[in-house]
Amino acid sequence: MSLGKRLFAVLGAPVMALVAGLLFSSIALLLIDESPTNAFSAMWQYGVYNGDTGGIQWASIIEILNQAVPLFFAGLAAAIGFRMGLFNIGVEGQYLISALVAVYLGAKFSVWAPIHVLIILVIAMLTGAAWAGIAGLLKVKRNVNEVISTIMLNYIAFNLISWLFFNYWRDERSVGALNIVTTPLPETAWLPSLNPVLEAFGVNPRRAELSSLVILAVIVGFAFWFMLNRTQFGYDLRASGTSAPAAQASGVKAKAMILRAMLISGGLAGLVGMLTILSETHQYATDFPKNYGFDGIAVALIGRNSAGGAALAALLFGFLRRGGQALLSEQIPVEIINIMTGSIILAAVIAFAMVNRWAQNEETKALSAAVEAKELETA
Amino acid sequence: MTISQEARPEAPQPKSLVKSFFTNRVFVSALIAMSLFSLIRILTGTAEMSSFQSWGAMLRLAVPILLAGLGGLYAERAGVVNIGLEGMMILGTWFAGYGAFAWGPWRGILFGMVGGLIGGALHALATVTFKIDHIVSGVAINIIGAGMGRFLSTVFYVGRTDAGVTQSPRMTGSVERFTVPILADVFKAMEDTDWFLIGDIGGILHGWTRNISWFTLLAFLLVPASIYLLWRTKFGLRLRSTGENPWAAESLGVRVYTYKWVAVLISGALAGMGGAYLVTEQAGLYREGMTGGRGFIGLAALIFGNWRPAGVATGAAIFGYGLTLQLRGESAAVRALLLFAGIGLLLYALWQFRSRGVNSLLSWIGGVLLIVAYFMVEEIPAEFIAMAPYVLTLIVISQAAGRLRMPAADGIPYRRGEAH
Repeated sequence: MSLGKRLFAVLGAPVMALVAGLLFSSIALLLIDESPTNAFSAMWQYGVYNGDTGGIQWASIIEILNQAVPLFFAGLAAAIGFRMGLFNIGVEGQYLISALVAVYLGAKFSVWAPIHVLIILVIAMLTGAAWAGIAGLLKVKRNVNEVISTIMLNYIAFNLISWLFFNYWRDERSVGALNIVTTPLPETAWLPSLNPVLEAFGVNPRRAELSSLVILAVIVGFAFWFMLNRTQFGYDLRASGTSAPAAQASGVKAKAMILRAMLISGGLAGLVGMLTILSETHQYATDFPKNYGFDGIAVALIGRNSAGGAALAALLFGFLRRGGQALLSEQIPVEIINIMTGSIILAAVIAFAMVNRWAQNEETKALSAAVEAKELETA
Repeated sequence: MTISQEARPEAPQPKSLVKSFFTNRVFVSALIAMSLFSLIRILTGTAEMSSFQSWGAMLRLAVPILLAGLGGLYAERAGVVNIGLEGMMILGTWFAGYGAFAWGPWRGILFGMVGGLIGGALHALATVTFKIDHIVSGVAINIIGAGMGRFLSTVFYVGRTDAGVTQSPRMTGSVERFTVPILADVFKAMEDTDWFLIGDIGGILHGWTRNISWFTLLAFLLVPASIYLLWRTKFGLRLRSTGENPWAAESLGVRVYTYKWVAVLISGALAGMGGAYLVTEQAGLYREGMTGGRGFIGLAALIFGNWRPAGVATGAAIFGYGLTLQLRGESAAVRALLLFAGIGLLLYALWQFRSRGVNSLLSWIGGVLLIVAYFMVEEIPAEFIAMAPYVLTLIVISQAAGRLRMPAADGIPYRRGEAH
């Protein structure tokens, strides 16, 4: 394939999706008599760069990064299952229950900071893996469809959380307050922010604090890429997704793969709530951020189930959330962001399917041309 | 476990309906269950277990789940998995809210169906025309549905005093209600006797005959209508053939794409109707988040019911009963139900005595544990009542997984002309 065609195969779909998102939200904006250019430039100026008030908006960029980290983990959690045709819809329940358990147990003791943080991360990952593992076991042992079991497990998790939280694990001092909370983690479990590093580079982050969990996200992202593309396990996983019968014929144990993928997915889901717990509020609360699990599915879809794609998608979502706040001051309904997200998702999946098909056709054409040339040579 | 009986795939239709009814194992086990239920009500003295108000409430709470489940049924029978039901239902609630406040409840219902239909059209476009993975498209539609509800409210309701971004104005009027003459009074008399079994059956039937909305009746009539349409007409046979083996269907001249499109559109309209029911019968207005995952529960009812209309209705009834207990806060009744479930499990274990399998053992343990719990626990936390239907679904599906049979080509994107 020529360079142009190759570029189109990689970038075509995301660009089409973005254009569709802009198009649909523009239509929605025009329907309510608002100027799309006004809205988008407000988002851009508030979220990324404003030439009038001092250039790059570092505070916003830090917020976008902080938002992107949980989205990224949730996206990876969904992506690993999607890669092999396994749909873990239960990331939402998995991360919430992990966060609650990790905070509850983490506040019970205090040790040397790095160890404390590590223990909390491990507890969260194990809890998430265990909760997802139920769905994995049901699938492997009893042939229960994972879409249904993870949806059911979500509701079970929500109720279990509310029972544990409101009856046993809440901090009695917060009862009666608007926001009921658990006992906060001791300071040994507080992650330092990366602001000193930013300041060393001459960046003024103002009141925003860049969480050092960003570093973990980068590491996990690389590990995810390495595992999928450079290990036997990753190869088997991708093979199972492309053609389950072919994978089985080549000796891949389907049941073990399902269980492992589900456990890893749940473990990654366990990391979703960690930024809030380790860097921000240090506690579980009634206003603990929700919906990361569902948004993570969208991140995985737009990011094509790869680590790099998920990172970009998570940043995009982070930007939309942060930039959306600018719409408030412009008196434009923030819900425009939802329309944008929804149409980007739908357009992305359609565009990916179409570009994929186009690329396959191109490959087939190139292959048959090569075969013909070879035949001519030998003749 | 009555489900396992219904779950026999494609059982041959019995010749004499009346005769087979009384020898039917479903009927016999239902009678045993009912007797046990009645016995426990009398022994524990929990009258709330079968007051006619509870049964009436159950009916109302079951309908949205039933409609969503039936919606899922049409799509999945045509081979399109529809986890976008929740999003379509949300669209249904918004549109129904608008229609109902502007032109009254019946137009509201129609509007709700149109709202769901829009969601269905999106899903059909993505899955049938563009061959996108069905789960992926469904997830996207759920996100879009939620976003659209918010957005449309902002556009239409901001600035009104009687509505806002999260809710519509209250609807004008309501769907007419009826009470079945004579029968309702007969059943009431039966209920009032409070006798063993007679009193309970009277309570149920009384709840189902007094003060019933025409919309409820319409929804329940959709069950036999769907059975007829899908299993007794040419249209139904063709629709189901596209879910079982679209390649063979195409080769026989069935326009597979058209049938799948129609099925998904019906699916969306029914889910929208379920949303409309929430608006016109329960809240009287559109409120954000009012579906509360009922689209997903409808999907569970569909699988629970083995992709059959009567099964979906059974599943919806169980979820409806669970919601009734939860919303009415009847913890005494729930506690009595522990005893009911425990003894029921022991009976089941006894019936399975010869099998000596793991299931039998688990049933013994579960039964004993439930009975112990009944005597140990003073009051059951509301959260456990709320999660019970989901746990039950997981148990039933995992127990019956071998007997449940989804349409053979369910969830497989179909491309015309591809060999398979």
